[in-house]
Amino acid sequence: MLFGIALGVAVVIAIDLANASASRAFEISSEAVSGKATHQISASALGLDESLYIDLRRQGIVDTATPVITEFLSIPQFGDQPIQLLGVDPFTDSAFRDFIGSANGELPLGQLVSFITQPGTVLISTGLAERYGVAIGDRLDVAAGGLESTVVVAGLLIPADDISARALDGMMLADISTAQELTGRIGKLDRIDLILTPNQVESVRAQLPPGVSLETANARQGAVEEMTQAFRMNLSALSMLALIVGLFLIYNTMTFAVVQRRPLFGILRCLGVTRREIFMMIMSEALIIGVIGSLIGTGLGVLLGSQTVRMVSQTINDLYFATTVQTTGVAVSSLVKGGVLGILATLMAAALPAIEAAATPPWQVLSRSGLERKARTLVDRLGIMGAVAILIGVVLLFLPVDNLWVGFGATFFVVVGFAMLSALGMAILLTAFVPVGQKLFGLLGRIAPRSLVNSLSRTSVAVAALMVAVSVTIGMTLMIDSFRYTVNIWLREVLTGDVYISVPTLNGTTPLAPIDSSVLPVLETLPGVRQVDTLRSVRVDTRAGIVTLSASNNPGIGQERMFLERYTGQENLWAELQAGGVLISEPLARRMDLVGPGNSIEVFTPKGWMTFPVIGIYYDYATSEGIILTASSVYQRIWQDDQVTSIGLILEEDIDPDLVVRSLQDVHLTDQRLLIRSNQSLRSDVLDIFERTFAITSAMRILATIVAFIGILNSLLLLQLDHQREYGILRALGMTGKQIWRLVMLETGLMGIFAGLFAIPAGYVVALILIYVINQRSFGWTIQMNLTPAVLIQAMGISLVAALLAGIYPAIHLSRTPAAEVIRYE
Amino acid sequence: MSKTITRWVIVMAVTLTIVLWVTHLQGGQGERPVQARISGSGMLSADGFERAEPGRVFQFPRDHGAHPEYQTEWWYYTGNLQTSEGRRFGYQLTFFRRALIPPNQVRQRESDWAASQVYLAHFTLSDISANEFNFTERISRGAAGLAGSVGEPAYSVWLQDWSVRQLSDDRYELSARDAAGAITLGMVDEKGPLLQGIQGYSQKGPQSGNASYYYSQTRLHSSGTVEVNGEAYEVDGVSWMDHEFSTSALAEDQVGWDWFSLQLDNDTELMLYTIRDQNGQVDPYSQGSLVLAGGEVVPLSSAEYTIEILDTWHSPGSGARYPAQWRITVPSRAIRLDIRPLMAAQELNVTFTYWEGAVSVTGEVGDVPVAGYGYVELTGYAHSMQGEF
Amino acid sequence: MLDHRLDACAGGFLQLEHVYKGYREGERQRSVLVDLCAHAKKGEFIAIVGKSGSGKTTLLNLIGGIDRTDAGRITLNGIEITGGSDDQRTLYRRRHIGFVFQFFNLFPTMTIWENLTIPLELNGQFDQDGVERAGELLAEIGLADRKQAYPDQLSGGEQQRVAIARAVVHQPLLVLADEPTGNLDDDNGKIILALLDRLTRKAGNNLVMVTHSLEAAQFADRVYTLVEGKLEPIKD
Repeated sequence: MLFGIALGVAVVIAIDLANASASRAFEISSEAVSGKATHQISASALGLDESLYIDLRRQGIVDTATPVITEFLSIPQFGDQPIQLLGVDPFTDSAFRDFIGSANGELPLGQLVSFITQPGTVLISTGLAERYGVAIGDRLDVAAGGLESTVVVAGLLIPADDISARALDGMMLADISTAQELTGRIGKLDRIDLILTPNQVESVRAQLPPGVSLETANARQGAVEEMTQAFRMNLSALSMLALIVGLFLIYNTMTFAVVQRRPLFGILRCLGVTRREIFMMIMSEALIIGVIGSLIGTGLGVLLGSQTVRMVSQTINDLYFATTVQTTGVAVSSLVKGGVLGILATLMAAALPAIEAAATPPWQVLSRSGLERKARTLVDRLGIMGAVAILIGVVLLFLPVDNLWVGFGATFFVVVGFAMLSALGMAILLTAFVPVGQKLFGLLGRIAPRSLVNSLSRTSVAVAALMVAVSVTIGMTLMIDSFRYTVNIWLREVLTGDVYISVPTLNGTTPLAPIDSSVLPVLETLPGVRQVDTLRSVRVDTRAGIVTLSASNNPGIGQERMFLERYTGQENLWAELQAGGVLISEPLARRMDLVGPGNSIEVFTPKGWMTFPVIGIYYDYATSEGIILTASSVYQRIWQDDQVTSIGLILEEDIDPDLVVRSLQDVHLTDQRLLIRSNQSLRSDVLDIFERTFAITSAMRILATIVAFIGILNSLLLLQLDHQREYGILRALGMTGKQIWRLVMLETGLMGIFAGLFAIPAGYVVALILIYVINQRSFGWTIQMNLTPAVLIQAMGISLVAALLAGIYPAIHLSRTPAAEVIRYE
Repeated sequence: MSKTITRWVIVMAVTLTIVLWVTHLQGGQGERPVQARISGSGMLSADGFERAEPGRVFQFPRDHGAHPEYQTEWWYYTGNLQTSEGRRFGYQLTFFRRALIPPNQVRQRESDWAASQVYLAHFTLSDISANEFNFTERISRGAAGLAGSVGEPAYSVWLQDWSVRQLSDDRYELSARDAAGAITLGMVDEKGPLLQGIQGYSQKGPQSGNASYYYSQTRLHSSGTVEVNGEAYEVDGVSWMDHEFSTSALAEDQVGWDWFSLQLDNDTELMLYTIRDQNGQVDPYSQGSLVLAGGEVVPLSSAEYTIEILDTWHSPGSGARYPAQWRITVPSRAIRLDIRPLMAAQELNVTFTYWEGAVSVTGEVGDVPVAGYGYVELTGYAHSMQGEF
Repeated sequence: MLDHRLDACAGGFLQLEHVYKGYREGERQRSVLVDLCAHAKKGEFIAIVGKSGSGKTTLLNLIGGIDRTDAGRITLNGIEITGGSDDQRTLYRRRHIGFVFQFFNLFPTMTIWENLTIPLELNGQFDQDGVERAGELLAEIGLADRKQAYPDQLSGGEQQRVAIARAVVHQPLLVLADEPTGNLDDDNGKIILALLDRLTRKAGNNLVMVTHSLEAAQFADRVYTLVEGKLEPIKD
């Protein structure tokens, strides 16, 4: 039981730690990057002309403003960790960020001479320097968007405190001039940070050319934060499921302990112990168990946390933004939250048994068989309550409330409902099983189910608990399997090219760095190439935050997408795209509520806000942020940009893609580092990312399975030990050790099978909810439910194996123990 | 019994609430800014820069512009202005240039932002009748057009939107604005650039090279507008400009200076400075000059004048004690002048702390009474100026 | 003495020959039964009295094949109960021995009928004959109308009657009773003893009863007392 609580708490804590860490990492790194800015000026997609900043300065329009360039660098010496390059102007930056000026705001010019005057000079934090053994004066190879160069460490940032240390850990600071040169963005800025009073905003905005926007700093982070929020909530809710499993096991064990001690309570009541005192006695026990279990769970959670933190930040990296903050420390709040949750959960689970114990009348008026008879009438009532609970769950699901917690509440009701129904189901099925059992196992086949029915007060609780545990496992497994299945199908549809070329990215997101313009003409004249598709992806502003806009030159793009909805004929698609229509991906459509015909989306372009009609919504699992797909011609006309970020080659039938990949890798196309992949390897790369995305869910499924497994083991073990005396009598009456062994195994096996059996529909419903409600609300993805028999067999397998394992010890124990010992004392 | 259960439920609910609240509070703790210090490489060094030597031939407007081969340079504009109603204003607009590396070490760079020069500027407005003094400091790289100074084809010096531009041979335009006020002046140079020291070579210490090049425009007739607290005033008055550049002006034991630029109503101007050492002793390299009505510059050695401090002022801001009233005598010219600050609080508490303020002058030249206005700069009272601009 | 021993060990329907049994108590070995000999003829009712802890129940368990002797042998109808594997002993016990416990030891979650028929099921006698016999027994103990009741719905005496019926329903050669009246009042005790007597000795089967009540022992053919690990005859 301790283990049940401990593991439940551990899972909650581990997930909460990961979430807290992810959110903190985001907070810290965004704070480090955006500092105290109240507003930001940025341009659509292609960066800001630096002259805007200079003009604003020379005209005295802005007072507290500073230019910024950010880019993610890959630095081989620093391993896989993406490094955030932050290009700043030290002279104006101190009003925004506290790490380049000294404490009193004075600029330590003497320390910055090289940094300002010498090309390729950077600052890194002492933490990073120490970790990789880098000293001032050392050289580092860096690549930004495929552009490779060498930088010199001109100084170290000595963080003032722990949080700063973490924030700066993944950061490289460069003078704005150096940053322009490293990223190849000569003449460009990413944004201008400003501190504006409310009445300055409009006067600044009036000065901005079209295609340049002024927004509050919060607005920018808010959109990202909002999306990761859904993801994190999804995780914590899943971790709650693990706790619910643990809770059921606690309930099971406590109920058991109470039922077993009924005679004792009867005697105590005779001796003058009040109901209140018995209630307090049970609750105190629960409290002690809860505290110890939660303590163990907290320790376990911290251990698990180091893994979950890594997995969650990886996922966030893949799906949302590159995080450069690696560690944020253990959030004490998470530990407290988890620990208290564990204790409260234990108390809650113990409350019903405690109330029941307190209700014990003086002496045992109600005998064991009386209890069983009561239990059997209760089973019917429980069944009805279960049906009602399921109904409530279903109603909750169809409530038009867009809240993940409602979804999880529904899940909870459904699972509990099934658990309640399981007692009734078991009573009916077991009775029906008697003749079957007789046929299969003879005498024991009859005795076992009867004995289970006869002790329904104990067995049904155990089976219900097991069912909950297994159904959660089934639900998660089904979701993950379905997701993988869906992505596989999607990839097969979407990846129609044979060879793909792009600039390597640091995370799993769409490549955004343009491919050297010299590359495309070479590829177009390559023998064996039937078609060259290009894609230009840029980040654009929408009313729902920044998303990726991709422009394709492929007239057949419509055939290469799977549509959720399409508001024009397949044959008109390309024409409509060229006429300014856009396709948007499902997550974006859901997030912006654009499902349905006649919608349009606003995009901030160099010409200002422009409205594009949505002509279709397609499935896309590459990002949960969303993508806008447009035609190259439209993009080039509006953005005045003919660069491309990814190229797909379709080869003649008889050409081997791998051969082309190899030959392209051998030919020196450009100085730029390019990623040239065959369809096959791109697909497996993409799948890798998906595996990573669901690594945490998989891990949680495994934990839930372990909790379930241990729970089955634990409760069946208790149940069998409770039967110990009866087995002793049977031994005395002449039942052989082997028969006892088989009887025990049959009993636990039956319970395992029933738990597994009831878990299947419950698990299926959980999976449905996870897939169609929870996932869709947190990621915006539609996943095709893929029900494989393997999952169900697995569930049955888990419960059966656990049940049989649970039977082994009592079976061995009881069959080995001489009957004399079992019945020796009364 | 039900009471017990109720009590349990309440206890649990309260605990849960407290925990959630506490964790929520904890969640909000991330407001502390990310802070760090820098340990960098490279030093500000005078190596590789040229030093001021006697015999320089000045050429204008070219020499109005920056001289990056010297490490430091400044353009000082100060002036006393008044409205037709007699409301007085003083202003200071100073540009400092500091080279981080000498020109021969500057590498060819792609980015416009690549900088080897740092510009710093101070802008003050003294609203005498309101007894209000405002100052603002700005710093910028001398690159990307954000700050700089050129001499040809026409002179200008600017830092963002603060600038002085040459409009024609003897006409200039000065403008600056900060949160508290603004100034726009058209200036006519009535006497032309006047070389200080020995033909513009101004020895500041015993060592060769402890010197600067120094010239002034001592009578810039100025008119335009001053804006204070959102109200614009038409003003008229006289400005003074000093332009000085050097690599290492102050000797090691020199901590600061008192500098006087006085414009008298007899069309003469007096410039004096005393360099003080650590013990408050007046350095013999202190000097001055008297500009006669016709533009003739009469150099004055430190032996030729005395500056007597009659009063002091204790700055509540920096805690420094500044001289606040002086009697200047130049016996050889029968000049005796009493100088009083137009207001006491004209201290700038910026990168380095100093007092620079508008003063009034009364006194006699021989038997003839004179009056006038000017500016006094007092440095090294709050901390040593060694190593600063 | 030697004669008596030889005599005591010599051929009977139930025979105990030089039985030793001890238990470890921490470091020390405590002998419970020492070189114990006894025998009974077919159909005899033997009572064993003795103080608490004298080893009466141990002896009963040994006879029932529930426990093993340390040395010596016990035979019933010429078949050694103490020999063979646990399974062999169990099967022999199942078929030929019936048990009556002080605390009835009925299965609380089974009806009277279910409790009664367990030995039949175990012995594969749950056929027409067996059912009939069980029905008769139930009538004989006066509980024919309580077939579907649960044990705790019966009084102690009624429960013990069911236990006795359970012990004989499969027609064992030997019934072992461990303080069958220990938990009952005098009247009920007498009823139980009479019932036991009727269903065993009167049916030609053997009964070995452990009791601390001399009064109960009066029913027996022979009464022994267990003293220092040996049986001493009181009534022969």
